[in-house]
Amino acid sequence: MDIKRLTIADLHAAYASGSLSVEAVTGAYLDAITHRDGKVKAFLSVLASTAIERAEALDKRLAAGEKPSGLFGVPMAIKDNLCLAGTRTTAGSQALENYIAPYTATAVQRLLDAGAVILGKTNLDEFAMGSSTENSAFQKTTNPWDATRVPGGSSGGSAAAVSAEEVLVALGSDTGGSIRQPASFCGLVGLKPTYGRVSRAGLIALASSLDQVGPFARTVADALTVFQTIAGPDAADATTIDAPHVDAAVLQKGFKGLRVGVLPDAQMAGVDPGVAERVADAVRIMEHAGATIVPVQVTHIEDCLAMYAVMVTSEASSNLARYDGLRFGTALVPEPKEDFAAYTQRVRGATFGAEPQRRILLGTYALSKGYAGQFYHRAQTLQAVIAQEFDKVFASVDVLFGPTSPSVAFPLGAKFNDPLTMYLSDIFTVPANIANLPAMSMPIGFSQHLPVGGQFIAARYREDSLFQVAAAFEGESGIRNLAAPAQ
Amino acid sequence: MHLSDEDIAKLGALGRLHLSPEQRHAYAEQLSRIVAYTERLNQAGSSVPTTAANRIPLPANHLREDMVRPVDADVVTAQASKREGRFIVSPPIA
Repeated sequence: MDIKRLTIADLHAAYASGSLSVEAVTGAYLDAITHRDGKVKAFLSVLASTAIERAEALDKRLAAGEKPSGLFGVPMAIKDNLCLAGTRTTAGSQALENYIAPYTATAVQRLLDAGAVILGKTNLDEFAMGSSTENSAFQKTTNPWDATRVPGGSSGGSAAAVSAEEVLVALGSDTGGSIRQPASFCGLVGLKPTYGRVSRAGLIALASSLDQVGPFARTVADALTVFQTIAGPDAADATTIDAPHVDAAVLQKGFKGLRVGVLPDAQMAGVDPGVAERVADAVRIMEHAGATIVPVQVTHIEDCLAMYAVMVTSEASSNLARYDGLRFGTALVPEPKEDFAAYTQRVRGATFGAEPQRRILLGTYALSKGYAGQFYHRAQTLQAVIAQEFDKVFASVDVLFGPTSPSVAFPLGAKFNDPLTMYLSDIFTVPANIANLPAMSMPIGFSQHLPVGGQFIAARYREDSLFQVAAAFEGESGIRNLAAPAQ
Repeated sequence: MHLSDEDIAKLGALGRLHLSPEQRHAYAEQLSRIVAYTERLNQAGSSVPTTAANRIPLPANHLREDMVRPVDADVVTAQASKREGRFIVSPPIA
């Protein structure tokens, strides 16, 4: 039996029957990290000894008669912008190279409370700014399907770790596609929940009005288990609400009665032919299985990336103002007679990479007197317009479907020196963030031997529709539990 | 709108970033392209006025009770670059 092929339900059955121990499962995944991560470079830190200690403690609970549920004994990774008390939490930045989190993020604490075994913390674009994970200050993660290509980003480390079977499931964060685009590039299920579903407390902020934490998994059911664990109100994040629980029964409901909206070709400009073919195949599969396909249009959807560029840089420039090289984070030795302003400028110039610097500059510009109305407030106004447009569409369909990304995983370095082209790789994912909608990427086939992701978007707090349609598609297509073969 | 090297220097000062002349030049070119792309927002939905009433409300946003809670000064200052007792040492603030 290959332990790493087992789903969460399989693991729990094996724990309950006594055929597997948590220690054995944890050991198998730690071995996989040892064997594969030298090439994949998904992890910034591996917490092997604490994971083994935790596995031993969980095995004692099994021996005492506990029935495994939730995330009991599930080997996981978390993106390194999520705080875990006592561990290094870098956000992929030199500015936090040796920062030790003094507390644990709410979403991570909920994993621990549900019995998860955290194996380590994964690489990301610096402060989650990017679409390839090449902006990390520490290492470039490679795509497990093809080591010459990017894993996507910014949660590329978490996606690569799940895809390379170094963990079973993982957490990422998604501000403009940072879970869904790497899920697409690595052949995984990745969910960006509705804004307000999952607490952001303990997530190092990029753009506070858009950030959400969500899961990566190899199956829809495993993604649901992680989502059920982390969702729910939290006193430490005032934007969280008590939305309806998503029950696992939705996984069995199939396509019957589902109305799936598809955008016209004109709103899908720039999609690679191989990706467009898989999307068309997926639409045929859904229609054949009983879904009703409805052509729809979302006015202004093509303007979302411009709104996103303004909003994310404005909020990022404010959020990054806290890094002064004094209270925490990387410090330099003050020069004689250097004042606070000069010192802070020098630290930030030396420890922020190019992408955070670009976003600070652009955000400062977009928020400055005389320009805030033209840029930030204009983007917020159009955000409300686009949200209303989606509301109209979801009055007639349950979900929208299309490509997650215009292309399959692109080669390392291909877009690194061209920030605008890099931003455009998020063109299909940002609308869900802008309109505060839940969205999921899942594998729908291959092009050029690389996974292609399809994206479902649903109305606010209707993650149940996403899980229903994704599980139905998984069952109908047989595309599930993908893992990149070792190279 | 084209951003010049001098514009970037000014934004760098506002954003508290020390930038070399080479960085300023590279960012001026890159950010000019991005700003040009975002200017489409002024055409999009031009019939909708830019007012606070037309902005999306957050799903929930309420203030916590305003109350004093104990904070461990050692935890707060543990990762400061330089400490003196309970305090963080800063270069002079002009």
